[in-house]
Amino acid sequence: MRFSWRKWVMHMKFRKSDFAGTSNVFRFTLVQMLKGKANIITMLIFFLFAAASIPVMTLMMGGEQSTSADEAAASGIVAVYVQNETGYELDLESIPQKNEIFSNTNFVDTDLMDVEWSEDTYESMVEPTEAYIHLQRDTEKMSFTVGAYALEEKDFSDEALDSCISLLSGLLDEARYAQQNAKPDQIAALTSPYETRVESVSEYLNEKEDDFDTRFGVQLLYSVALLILCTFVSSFIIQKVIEEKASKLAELLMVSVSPLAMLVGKILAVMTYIFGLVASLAVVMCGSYVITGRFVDTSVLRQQIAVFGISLETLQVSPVLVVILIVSFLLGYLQVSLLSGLIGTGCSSTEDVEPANMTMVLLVMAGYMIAVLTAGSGSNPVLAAVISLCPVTSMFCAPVRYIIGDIGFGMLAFSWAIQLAVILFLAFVCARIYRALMMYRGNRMKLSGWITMFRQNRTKEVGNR
Amino acid sequence: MSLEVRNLSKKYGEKTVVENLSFEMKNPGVFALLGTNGAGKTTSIRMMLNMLSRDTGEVLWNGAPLDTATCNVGYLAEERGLYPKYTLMDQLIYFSGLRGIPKAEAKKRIRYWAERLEVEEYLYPQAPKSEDGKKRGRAKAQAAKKADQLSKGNQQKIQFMTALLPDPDLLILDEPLSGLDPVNTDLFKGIIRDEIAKGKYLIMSSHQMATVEEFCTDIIILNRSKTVLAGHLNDIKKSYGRINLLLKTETDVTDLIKQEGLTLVSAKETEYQIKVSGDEQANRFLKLLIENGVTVVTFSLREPSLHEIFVEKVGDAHEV
Repeated sequence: MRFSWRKWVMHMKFRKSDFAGTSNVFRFTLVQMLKGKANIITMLIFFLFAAASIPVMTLMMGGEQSTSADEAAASGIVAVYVQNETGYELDLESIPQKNEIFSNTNFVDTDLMDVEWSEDTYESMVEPTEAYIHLQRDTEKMSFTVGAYALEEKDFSDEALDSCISLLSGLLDEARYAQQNAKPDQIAALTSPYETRVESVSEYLNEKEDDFDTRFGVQLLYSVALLILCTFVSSFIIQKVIEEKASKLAELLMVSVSPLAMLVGKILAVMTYIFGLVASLAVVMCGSYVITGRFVDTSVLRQQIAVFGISLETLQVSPVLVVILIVSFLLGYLQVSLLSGLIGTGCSSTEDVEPANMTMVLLVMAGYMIAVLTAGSGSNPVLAAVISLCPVTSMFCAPVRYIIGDIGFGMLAFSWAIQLAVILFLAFVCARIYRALMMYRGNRMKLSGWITMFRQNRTKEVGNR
Repeated sequence: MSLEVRNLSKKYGEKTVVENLSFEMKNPGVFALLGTNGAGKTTSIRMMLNMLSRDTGEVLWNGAPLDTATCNVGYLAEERGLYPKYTLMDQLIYFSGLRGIPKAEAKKRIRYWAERLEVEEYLYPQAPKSEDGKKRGRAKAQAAKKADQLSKGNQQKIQFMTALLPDPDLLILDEPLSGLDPVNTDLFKGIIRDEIAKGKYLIMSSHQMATVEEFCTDIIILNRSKTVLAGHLNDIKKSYGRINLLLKTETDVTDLIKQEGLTLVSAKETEYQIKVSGDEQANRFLKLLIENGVTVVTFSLREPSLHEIFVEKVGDAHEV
């Protein structure tokens, strides 16, 4: 029978029986991975490194012991006495929500109209951690004055006091607009902040450099994480598959379970193991960060990461972004693991593990290198689209290009769709030739051998239906 | 229940490895699949179990295509395999789980077969006991055994156990006795006899003709992918007739054997193994012996053994 691609595509569907036994394979593989001494030792070492990494890095980067003042109030101002003589009612309770540095500052509405002012009186009334702000209205000039007073030897910065003045001025504006029956959205529009910038040409160019740093930093961070994941995954899967073939277990297993289920069970088990390990390490690192923060100032870590142009503000971390990253990671994982499974099954002995691994590493490295080398190329829309859609590079580039803003969500979704199609194709190839590959004995199979086997098996499958 | 194999064929490129293999098992018993090395026995079994795609043909169990969903199959593969680094108990529970046997039930069955196959010590390690038979106070239980800690024969027992655990209706044994010592061979034979007594269908591939003769009712002989002989073993033997003559005399009768035109297979002093064409020629030869005053100690006619039939059919005796 002549091979027909059209017929092949028409029959590209899975049967329920293709997945029978997956849960058993999954459980067994995962339990054996968790029981393996080498894996237990590796996990313990990882946990130890994760726990120690935060305090060690903080100390190495010059983190200092944190003080109780840092914990008491970020602004350093414990109390602000507000004397409001404008005739407008100010919502002082909303201040901590508007600027979190005042979350521990107490704003007190005060009436000191009858007090006779002198330096002594002020010193007797106000502590070094306190400030007095006086808001007045000049009806003749139709203007307002905001005065702020503190002791010479005050325990907070001028910037903190300036921020306090700005906030109260803003509150006054809101109260004025509200009295003119402005709606909340109108008030928001009128009082929304704006940023002005005056800078030299060199300063402007430096900022462009920052943009390059951000792009490169984000791409590098994501690519390295995915590269590590892919290398781990391909190594684990190839090892598991070859182990089964070299142990001559294929025949025994295939009486009970479909070849696709054998592979999918393994892939899911390795995925659970690796993602579980990563999640556990993240939890350990977060715990370590919190505990370290109680003794040492950990802000140096954030500053160090910011050197690469990466900060939470730049990345605009949100639940949606987290979902995007997880989906992208999963798609990348599934592509690499299915391909590793196929390559692993084309081998017959444990001596073939290394060359099989090398094939996968080279493939993944190609995607990684392209992603990193094109990271600083600016927002060329054609290049961004090509590397975001092309298999192998797409798993490295698409989510990063979306985060940076080079491609929209539509393009990202299209990239996911292509990656999903690749996964389905690989799974289908597995379903059809994995059985024959498991029975295959001989030299490591080359691509031409794969294609021949696929065409032969596919033709017969179609013919048998 | 019945098993029917119809026109199984398989080619690798231009090379035919199995050509139109057909047979039927209407009743429980043992069916022997015989052949020289590379004749296509294992390939045929793999095709029957859907491990290899077949170019033509079908395998029916009770009239429906055979697969693990329609038939409870136990299989001892020619390539013996176990995970070398996992504990035996974990593996057996896993293999049972793949066949849909719940864990508690699997444990019961494993216990039963471990006793039958005498491998309890590897599956249920216990704390070492002192000389008086009591457990030592602080002695630790031995670690559960892994496959690579077992001898080849014991590994084979565990693999046989995996085939038996699902309590299969159809048991396929590819060279089940190869590599076993005489004690374990008898152990396996006892279990095979029990399975036959339970009314199971067995397909056995073996090079040990004596064993096949001991168990099998029907045989098929493959030679270079083709079926050269198939049928009920007794009928096949009958069709050959009684052609083996064992003769023991008190004097040398070599000249008389030549005179009658018989084929002398072997001679040890005055004990001869002779090929005759049938009963008529044997009677004629006996008459000749008596007429020549030869004292006949033994004159025994018998059908050919399976070994002889096999060698005659496939020719390459050295490969068996």
